[in-house]
Order: sequence, then structure tokens, then C-alpha cells
Amino acid sequence: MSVINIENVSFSYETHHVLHNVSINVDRGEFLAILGSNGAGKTTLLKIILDELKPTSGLVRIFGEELKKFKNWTKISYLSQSATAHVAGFPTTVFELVASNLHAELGLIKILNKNQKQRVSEVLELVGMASYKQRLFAKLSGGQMQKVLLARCLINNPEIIILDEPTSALDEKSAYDLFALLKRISHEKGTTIIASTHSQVCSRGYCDQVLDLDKHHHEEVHV
Amino acid sequence: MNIFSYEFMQRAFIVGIALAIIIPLIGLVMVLKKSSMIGDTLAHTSLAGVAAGLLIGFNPIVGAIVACVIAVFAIEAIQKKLPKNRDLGMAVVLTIGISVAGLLSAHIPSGMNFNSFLFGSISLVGQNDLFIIVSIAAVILLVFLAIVKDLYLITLDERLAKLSGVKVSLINFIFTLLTAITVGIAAKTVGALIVSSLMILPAACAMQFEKGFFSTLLLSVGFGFIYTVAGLFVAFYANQRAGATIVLIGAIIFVIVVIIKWLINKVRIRKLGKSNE
Repeated sequence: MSVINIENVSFSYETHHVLHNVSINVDRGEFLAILGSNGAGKTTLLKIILDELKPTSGLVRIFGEELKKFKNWTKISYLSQSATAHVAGFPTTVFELVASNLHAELGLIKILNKNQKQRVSEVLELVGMASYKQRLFAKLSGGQMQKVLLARCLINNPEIIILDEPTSALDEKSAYDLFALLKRISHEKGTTIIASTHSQVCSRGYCDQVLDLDKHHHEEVHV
Repeated sequence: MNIFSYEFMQRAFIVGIALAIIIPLIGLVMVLKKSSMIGDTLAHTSLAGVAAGLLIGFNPIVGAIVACVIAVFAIEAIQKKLPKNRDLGMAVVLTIGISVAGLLSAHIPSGMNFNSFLFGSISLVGQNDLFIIVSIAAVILLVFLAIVKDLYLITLDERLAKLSGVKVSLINFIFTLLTAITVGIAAKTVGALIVSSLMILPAACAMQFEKGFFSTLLLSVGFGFIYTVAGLFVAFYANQRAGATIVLIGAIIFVIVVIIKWLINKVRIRKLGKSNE
């Protein structure tokens, strides 16, 4: 069964046509890149998947359920385009930031227990940022910030991670590193990952499927 | 003579320290929420409550608290009507508050020293005021500690806070209410025109240390404590107004911290340059 199933989805902003009959299936543990130039509809499609925008026509199913019936949003983590800029000026350590996503499972006193602290360390280890635990988030490089934000997404063991242009502020090497990390996470943990990007090299080099919104087609990549 | 042999100074220290704990806590969150102006708005509006209290004959601290709480509701109502110009709500309430204070204060008998509320009169704190201020400060501290993790999440990322099950509107409302009450109880002691500075300066100093959120909160309280204790000593021995002295010392400490930080960075860069040569 597909984790995400998009069927003939179209979307228009009033008279401006953005998406036209987009269809794709993404399975468990697959890494999908949504490729396209500015205005091609990458963010729009992600917002449709997140039920923040309603498609003009077509259907989206998550875990086999139509979006309007789907309730289990805690299974999905979303990393927005502006997340780095939003947190950059805030006085917070890497540890505090990652631990903030455990808020829903904290008790009344809202203090992390040993197991939860261990989980924070583990996800930071996974993204290669364990030694930065007590560093100030604002002092990290763009690539390191994205890895920490990814760790924040991962701490709740989401089944799907959606990232909107995670490489937009990164240099080429950091972008490749991030996509390589995403690929490893999707394959090792079985997490389904959808990332929008401008980068042909990143998407074709590391993803299982590429949906090219400029060319209106999708392809399976075998790497 | 020893400063602590005066009862009024003992009371001033107790009240000053109670306020030095809660004002910076509220102040840091306000700075991070980019809503520093609300402190100024409430402080000015509190004067209307003070004037009403002196005129009608009830405790002006209670008057200040009531005025601030009404101001908070008014700001929220205006902001809901004008969501695209949220600053306008604060500007309108500030204008109304200060106008009402101006009108009412003209009718206050001259012996009731309305002016002492402008710049504070911590040495005039009576036994009754001490009890009111310390009890309310204790409640504010407890409520703040109960919601501090929610506030951290909301200030960091409101969307994430909602997804994590935080009741964002409720927590924001409680925080605004805490701000209103804090300004209300600080008006008499620190001074209505000065209280917002005491909210911002400790936060500004603490943020220079580039620590995490909870460490920055503690540092803010530490700076508030240092300003207050140093300010009270200086004000007593130099025979100056306490509120203004406390804030001025805060401003001087802020400048010193910024200069030291700048010098440390310069030395670091020089060392880095030498090691790269």
C-alpha cells in the first residue's frame, strides 16, 4: 500500500494554473524529490499534501485514507522553507531546540526524563550533530542548522517527513550532504521522505523518485 | 547609619528583589515575541488606574492592575478588528490611557503625590503595599514557571506549538495578563515611565551571552537582581530616586557588557588571524 497517493491533482490560484493532473505514488521508505523552477508549484503541492490547500480537482490519500478523513497528523513532520530564518535569531541551544518537539509527550512538570534525553542524543548522533548539543543554534552554519531541524523532525519517529526546499540556503557540498543523509534515513529507518528542490543533481543523485513539475512527468531513479 | 536599619529600606529591598525576579522573566519573553511595545502601553495606561485610585480613594496599585487588565482586553479587541495593523491597537490604547491619566490627575489633591508614580517611589512602599506586591509577585512567578515551556515553544514556533498540543491562544492570553499585572504592581515602586525599561534591559544584557533559552532567562533575572540591589544602594547613599537609578545602572551595565563582548570578539579574531598565518 502506498504511503502517499496523489491522483490527478490540479490546482489554480484564481486564473493562474499551477498544477495540472499530477499523479504519483510514494511507498514506505521511499525518498521523493519534487523538482521545479520558481512558481512551478512545489510548495503548493506540499501544502495540498499537508491539507493546507484544497486541490481544484483530484485526490490525495495518506496511508490509504482520503485527506478529509485523515486525522493522524503526528505521523507527519514538516520542515518549512522559512524554518531556519525563523529560529536563527532565537537564543536556544541545539539540545533545547530538538527537545522542544517532545513537548506533546511531556508530563505536567514538563521536564525531560532520562529516556527522552537519550532520544535527543540519538537523533543528533544520527544527523552527525551530537558534538554540537550545547551550542547556540544561531551560531551554526546553514547546513548544520538544517541537520538540527531535521533531528527535531526525527525525534518523534514520524513515518513521513516533508521538507520544503531544505537546500535553498546551502552551498553545493552541504546540499549533497543533506540529501545523502535524507537518503540514509529513508532507507535505514523506513521513513518516507518528500523534499522539494531546485537541484537536478541532488534529486537524481539521491532520490528514489523524481517528480519534475517543469516537465510534467515523474521518473523512477535507480541509484 | 546602616541602610538596613531603616524599615522603609528593608521593605524596599524585599519589594525590589521580588520585582527583579518577575519583571525580567516577563521582559525576555516579550522581547523574543517582538512585542516590547506592549510594556510601554500598559505602563502608561496604568497611570489612569493610579489616578482613578487616588481620586476615588482605593489602593492605586489595585487601580493600576485593573487599568492594565482592561488595556489588555482593549488591545486584543482592536487587534482582532485590525489584524493587518496590530501595532495600532497598542498605540490607540496608549493614547487613551495617557489622556485619561492626564484628565484625572488634574483633579487629584496636591498632597497625594501622583508624580511619584511616574518615576517610582520604592521608599514609600508601606506594609500593606509590601504584602500586596510580594503575594502577587509569588503568584506571577508560579504561573510563569507553569507555562514557561509552552511559552518557549510558542515564541520559537507558534505552528509547532499548535501541533504539539499547546493551547496557544490561552497561553498567550495568560502571558499578557501576567504582563499587565506585573506592570500594575511595578508602577508605584519602579515607576510607570520606567518599568518597561526594566523589562527590556536585563533581557538585552542576558542575550549578549548567547546562551540557550533557559540560561538566558536565569541570566535576565540575575541582571535584574544586580540592577535593583545596586540601584537601591546608590539611590539611598546618593539620595536619588530609586526607580530611575536602578534603570540607569542597568543601562550602564548593558553598555559595559556590549563593550566587553566587542573586545573579546576582537581579541578572538586577532588570535584566529595569527594562528592562520
